[in-house]
Amino acid sequence: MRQAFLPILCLLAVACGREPDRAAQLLAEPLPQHRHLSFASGGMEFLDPARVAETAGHHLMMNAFEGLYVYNRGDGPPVPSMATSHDVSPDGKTWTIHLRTGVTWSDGVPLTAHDFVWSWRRVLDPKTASRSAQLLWFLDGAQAFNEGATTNPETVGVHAPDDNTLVIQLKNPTPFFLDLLCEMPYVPTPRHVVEGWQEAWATPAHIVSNGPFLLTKHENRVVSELVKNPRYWDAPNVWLDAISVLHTESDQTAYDWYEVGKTQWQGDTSLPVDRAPSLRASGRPDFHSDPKLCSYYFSVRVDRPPMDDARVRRAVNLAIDKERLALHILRGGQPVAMNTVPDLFRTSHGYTPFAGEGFNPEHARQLLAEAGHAEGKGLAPMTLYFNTGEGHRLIAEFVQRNLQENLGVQVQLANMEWGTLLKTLLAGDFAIGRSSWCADYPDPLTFLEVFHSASKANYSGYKSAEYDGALAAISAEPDMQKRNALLHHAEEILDRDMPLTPLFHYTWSYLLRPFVLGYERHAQDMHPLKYVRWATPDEWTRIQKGEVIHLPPLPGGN
Amino acid sequence: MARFLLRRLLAGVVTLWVVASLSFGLMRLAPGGPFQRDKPLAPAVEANLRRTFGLAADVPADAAGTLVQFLVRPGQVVQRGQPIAEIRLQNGQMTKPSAVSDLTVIALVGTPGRVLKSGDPLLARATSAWEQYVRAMASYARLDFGVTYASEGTETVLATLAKAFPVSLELGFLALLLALVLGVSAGLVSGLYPNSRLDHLSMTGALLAVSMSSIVLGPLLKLIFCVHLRWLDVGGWEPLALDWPHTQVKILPVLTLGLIYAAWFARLTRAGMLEVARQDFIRTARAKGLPEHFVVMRHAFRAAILPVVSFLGPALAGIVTGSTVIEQVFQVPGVGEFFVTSAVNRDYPMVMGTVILYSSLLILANLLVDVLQAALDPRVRGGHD
Repeated sequence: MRQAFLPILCLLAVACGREPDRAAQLLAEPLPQHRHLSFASGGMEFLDPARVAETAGHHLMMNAFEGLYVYNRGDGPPVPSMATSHDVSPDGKTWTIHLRTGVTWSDGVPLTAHDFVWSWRRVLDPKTASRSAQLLWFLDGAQAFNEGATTNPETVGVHAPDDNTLVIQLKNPTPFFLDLLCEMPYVPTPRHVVEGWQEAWATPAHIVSNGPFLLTKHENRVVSELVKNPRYWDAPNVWLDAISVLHTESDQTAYDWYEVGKTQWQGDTSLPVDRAPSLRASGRPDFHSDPKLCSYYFSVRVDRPPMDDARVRRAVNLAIDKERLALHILRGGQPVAMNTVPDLFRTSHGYTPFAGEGFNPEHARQLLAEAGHAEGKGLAPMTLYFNTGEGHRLIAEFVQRNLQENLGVQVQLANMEWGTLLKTLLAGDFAIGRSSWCADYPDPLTFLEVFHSASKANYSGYKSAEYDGALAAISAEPDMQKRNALLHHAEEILDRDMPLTPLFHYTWSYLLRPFVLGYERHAQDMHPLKYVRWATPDEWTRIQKGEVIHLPPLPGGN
Repeated sequence: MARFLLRRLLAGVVTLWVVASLSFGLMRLAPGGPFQRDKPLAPAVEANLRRTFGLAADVPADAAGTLVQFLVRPGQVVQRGQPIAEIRLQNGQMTKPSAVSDLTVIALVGTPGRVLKSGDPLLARATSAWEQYVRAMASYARLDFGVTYASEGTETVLATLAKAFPVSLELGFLALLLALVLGVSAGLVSGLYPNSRLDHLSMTGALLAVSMSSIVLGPLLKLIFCVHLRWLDVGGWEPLALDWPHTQVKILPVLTLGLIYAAWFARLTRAGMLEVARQDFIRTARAKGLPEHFVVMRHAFRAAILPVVSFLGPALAGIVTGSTVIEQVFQVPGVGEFFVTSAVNRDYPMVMGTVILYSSLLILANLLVDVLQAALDPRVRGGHD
């Protein structure tokens, strides 16, 4: 019987392979003769752009629909799509958008400014019950209409004086509004189709769109397919003919598909946990790790002794060796977080986040002593709550050990399911709780607003009139430079009061065949597939020799 | 027989109701809710979603006037009679409408200064579990299982199950067929030639398969045949599609699921054959001078197969529920996944739909087994009629 296992073991050994061989294999692959990109993605049940809230649906629909502006190729300002240019009033609150003339839906029906007005109102209509409606609340009157405080859609700040002009009234000057215009709830939906087919409109049989690709197949949990839209306004510059999205919820399956060559991009799934470190270490040319607009931190309940003393909270923050955490525990190239805002706004905003104090156990012990708890004296053990996940446990244990060794503070760990943890966080019934925040919109404000006294995600129970005032000042400021100073000021307040223990910012690791170009690093992790193409034979030779080729961002809108 | 069937069917309906009510209760007791993802939703957005699913209702203003302030906040539990807002009436008088029952506030509608007409929504409240239960049971009785939360209400539970169920059914049917053919024939040979090399071989195989769980066997087969040898593909199951690209993805899931049950069937058949071979009626049949194949197939086999038939009920249950793992490993878009994902995501209507579907299936399967047993075994038949 023992002999029977031998071949299996051999197969296993071979299947696990060695990474350096793999690197050579990947570079020896011939260029595909087709223009058909395949990638893996989670399942998606419905595709109405007014409602998609999941990453998977986004990836599909952002290629089928385009708004007034569209994400750039890599980090650069948004690029005009349905719009050609825009004017902003001096107070930053009135935006006049000039639409491209002659654009049509994929069925040939003209697309006008009225389509946008109707579509945005539809997203906000309480009956649509859109999860992403909040992204439109930047418009004047949008929130009241969405809440049901008024049923008159005319009160929403978007109007079309003629077919090619859109006038938008904003609640506050919103310097990142151009980025918002690229978001899914801002894309137009075809009124003539939606009204005719109701819920069934966003299915391959009926869907009509305005983006570079058309949805031709959607079998949930199996496969979705898109083909090039010949009526897209910029069709000559779209290189791919077709896109296949293979649905899976399993990271391992997505990885297998990529490795056997069934897909060229691993897609929006994660790398299998046990594979990521070895892939990272392998130096494979198809391995990428991009920073994300997401922050990982512990919420610290500010109304519970001993954490009601800001000095204790700051001591806790200073006693954790985050560099070591990132290097030895996370091992994903994650940037260490000194505060909640990731350092990804230099090119877009010219903003450098507040550089807080790094690991300093000496200062931490001093702060704790000032608070009357030298070497953890008189401190009852605190409980750190985290949700199920191997990564979360390792991080919690690391923090537990650091606080014990550097401060003499005892921490107990409590593991729970995410739903239970969220309930605990919302009830404020904890000392330290694992939390995270990913940007709603590409602006530092989205991270800072979490700690507004009225924010639902402010699990710490932090209430500061000074901080709320600082946030209000940011929202009201139309000048970018002054605004950056105000952002900095708000970060300073947060650093002083420390209602959180920032740990690190997320990165996202993925595999992409080396011959795929035009998929560039983007802070919001947005990669329109209309930019994607294979390398030319000449470029491929250069890549095989070890060169890394990036396609530059396109010129942005005015 | 007809009365027996009717009685069993009625009992089945009662069982279904009990199962549905229990699941409903357990689901509501589980912490968390369908709208708790990574980020908490804005109260108004959550209220809109909840209204779609009947999980929230409006509390209307009972008089016209101007809203001065709210006296409650989202998430707050309000006792009956507690004032919820302050309103200045058109005649200048102030009024404080109060809650007519205990309620949980989901969202406030509008901001102070808002002009209200009588009947305008003032706030959104959560509907109580009892309200939801009554509503749900009434619609189940009409065979309406509602819309799934996962589709944000764009697809009904029945439509979702109608797409996935044929897949699971095909997987289950093929696996059961494989298990029966392979298991029963292996068991038959083993039983006929006990302690032969053939017997040892098939029983060792059976022992291995019985001890192996699908969570080990599945990924192992996948690693060998899909990743390393690349003979077979994973994903892209289409029911009743017979061409090679669609057939090859079905091989491994059916094999994994079928093998384990084949092992059980083989052991049961073997034991049955050994047991029956010693019985008087077989000796009588042989003494009558019946040909050996006739004795085996006509007499021994029919009696020996009875334990297998009794095991069919639980086996069907196992194959149907056990396929959850197989479906995940091999990307089979069946019902199994909903068991896990809809429970984790608190997709209440989908959980209920899946539970009711499986319960009905099990009740029917057990009924079928009873009928089959009655048909095979004269002693059972006598007992019922």
